[in-house]
Amino acid sequence: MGEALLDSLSQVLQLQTLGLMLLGVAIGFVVGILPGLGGPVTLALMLPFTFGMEPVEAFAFLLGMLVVTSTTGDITSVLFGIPGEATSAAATLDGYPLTRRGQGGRALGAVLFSSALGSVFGAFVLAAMVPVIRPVVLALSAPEFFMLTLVGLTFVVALSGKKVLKGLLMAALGLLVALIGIDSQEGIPRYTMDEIYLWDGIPLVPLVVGLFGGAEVLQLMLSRSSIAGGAGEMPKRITGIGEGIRDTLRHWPVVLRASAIGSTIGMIPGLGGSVAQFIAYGQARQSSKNPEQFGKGAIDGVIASGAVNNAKDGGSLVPTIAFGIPGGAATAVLLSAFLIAGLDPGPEMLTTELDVTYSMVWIVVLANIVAVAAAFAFLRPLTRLTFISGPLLVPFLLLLLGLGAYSSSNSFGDVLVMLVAAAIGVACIRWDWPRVPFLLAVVLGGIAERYLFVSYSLFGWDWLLRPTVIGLAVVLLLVFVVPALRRRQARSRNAPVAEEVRS
Amino acid sequence: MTTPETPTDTANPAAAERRTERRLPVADIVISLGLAALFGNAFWIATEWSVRAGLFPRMVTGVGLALALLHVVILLLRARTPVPVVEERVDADDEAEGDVEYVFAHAGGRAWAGSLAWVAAFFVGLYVAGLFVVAPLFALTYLRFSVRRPWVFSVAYAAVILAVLYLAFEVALQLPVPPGLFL
Repeated sequence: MGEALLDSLSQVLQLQTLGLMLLGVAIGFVVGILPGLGGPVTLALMLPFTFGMEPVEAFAFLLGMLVVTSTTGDITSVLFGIPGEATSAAATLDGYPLTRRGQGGRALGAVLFSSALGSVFGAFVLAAMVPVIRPVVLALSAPEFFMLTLVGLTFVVALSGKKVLKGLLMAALGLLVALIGIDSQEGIPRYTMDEIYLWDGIPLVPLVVGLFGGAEVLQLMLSRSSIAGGAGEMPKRITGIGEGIRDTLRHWPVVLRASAIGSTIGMIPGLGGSVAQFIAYGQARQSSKNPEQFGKGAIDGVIASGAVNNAKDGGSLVPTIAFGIPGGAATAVLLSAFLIAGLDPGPEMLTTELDVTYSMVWIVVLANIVAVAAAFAFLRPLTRLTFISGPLLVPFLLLLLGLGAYSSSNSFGDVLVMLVAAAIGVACIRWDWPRVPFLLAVVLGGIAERYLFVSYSLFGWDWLLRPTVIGLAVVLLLVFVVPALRRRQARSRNAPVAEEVRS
Repeated sequence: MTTPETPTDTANPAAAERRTERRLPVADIVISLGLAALFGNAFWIATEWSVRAGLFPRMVTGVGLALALLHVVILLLRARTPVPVVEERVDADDEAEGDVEYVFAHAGGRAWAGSLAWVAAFFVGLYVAGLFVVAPLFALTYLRFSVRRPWVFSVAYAAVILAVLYLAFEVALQLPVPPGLFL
């Protein structure tokens, strides 16, 4: 393990890889500060530019960008009370009150330093999980992996907080899209509508770019407001950063607990950072000596929010790498990058491509350290980015959409795929249908069919009786049954109220 | 479509608070029916393939068809039952989409038409004239006439777009750029 870790570090520290990581960090930094542009969207927009990169270079660029959005998203949360990212919402609860009391620098010092420590914790969890999870993954075969893809899909559907049936329908639609193209077993064109363009299947890059980027551009055009429309004024002076760092060191148990919560919840597909931040925040409040200060400017609340935010990134990479099951939207887009780089999540990532896996550990750590150092150095000028008017970004984002889609296979068909995906993305948001199960199903569809085919070829239908398969089927059922039972219990508790309403 | 009911006395504030409504989610029903038709057609096509090529498609489309029809039935059954009016809630994992949802739901028809027209103009221009022409031209016209920025600013922005496109994407990254119909 030690040798593999050092080998991957040397790969990350190569000039070109390091340069790409710094570029990713710079983009992630700006995106994290800009409320309205999210990490998954930017990841999707940047995906096309990784064509031709080596896997470690591609992940240095993409992962470097993604993890930094979580860190810098906290800056706007603290200074303006507007979360730069959805996962930075908890940082507003105590960070902004501290800023209003003139302690913005202290809050920023605490949130950024705890973010850096959280990311190191998350990366350590990722590195430590590899030897633990490798024997498990290597013991599994095609039937189990087929079931795991189904479990992963259902986890994302059932736990994402959306309506379950809508999520399942979107997943089925995604699987149908994944079926388009020449069948690899018998060479039959499936759902190609006699279009030669579709023989290779629906290209992933234009689909991801359109699904996430299209809606974002349209929102900026429709809203017409400054990105930080309701932001408060910028504090005149930002001082006390050192005090915030010392606060973080003083509250090290809060950092540890929040990081542990973040990396553990990050590993559960479908839950993600939005949930983890409030669990860690609640836990910090429970264990605080001054719980009454929470919501009014408690420094331990700020520290917990910062640490959990970044620790979850390392955790969420574990199921993505080991089983091909992403934890949320960002890792679902990142999973697309695996396929573009020619990598198969699963055993390969823990054996022959172990250096790529460990390089992610270093990228998470280095990117966050660079971002936090840059944040401390250039804080004030960078926060001015928040006041950029949204529509000003539209021409540049449209350029990225067109160029990103086209570069997939240099065909205008890719641009059309991107536009259709954008329409689906917009419709999903407008009528509250989840996009992530759709994307995940498109990504996992081909893999799932391959595992099903291998299972059927090797074992006939007997694979359904394997104990692990039965166990995973039970998990799959529980994913739906438990929330349904909870809803039923909640309904029966509220029944008297409903009766009263009817009368 | 929402059809509010007024079973209680509206003069009574407490009763007004407990307002109920029957929701007929037309969009959801239309989308589900569309998906049912799509899955049904795809299932029908998949029956013509051999087991090896058609097993997974039949599983996916069969399940998809059943789920779509089930969804329609559930939506129609729910629409028959009055439910208490509650404020729209944004799920914890959906905060990222919260703003977008709000903007999409509250933008007027004119704003939608205008924005979609600009997007359509960009992509038609991309197809006809290529990215090197349409990107700066779009930046100039969009910023000047839609965002109402001064001419000088719009021209400077367009020049920056052209420079970034050429230097970063064409020279440095050597990415293929959509050339348009005439190149």
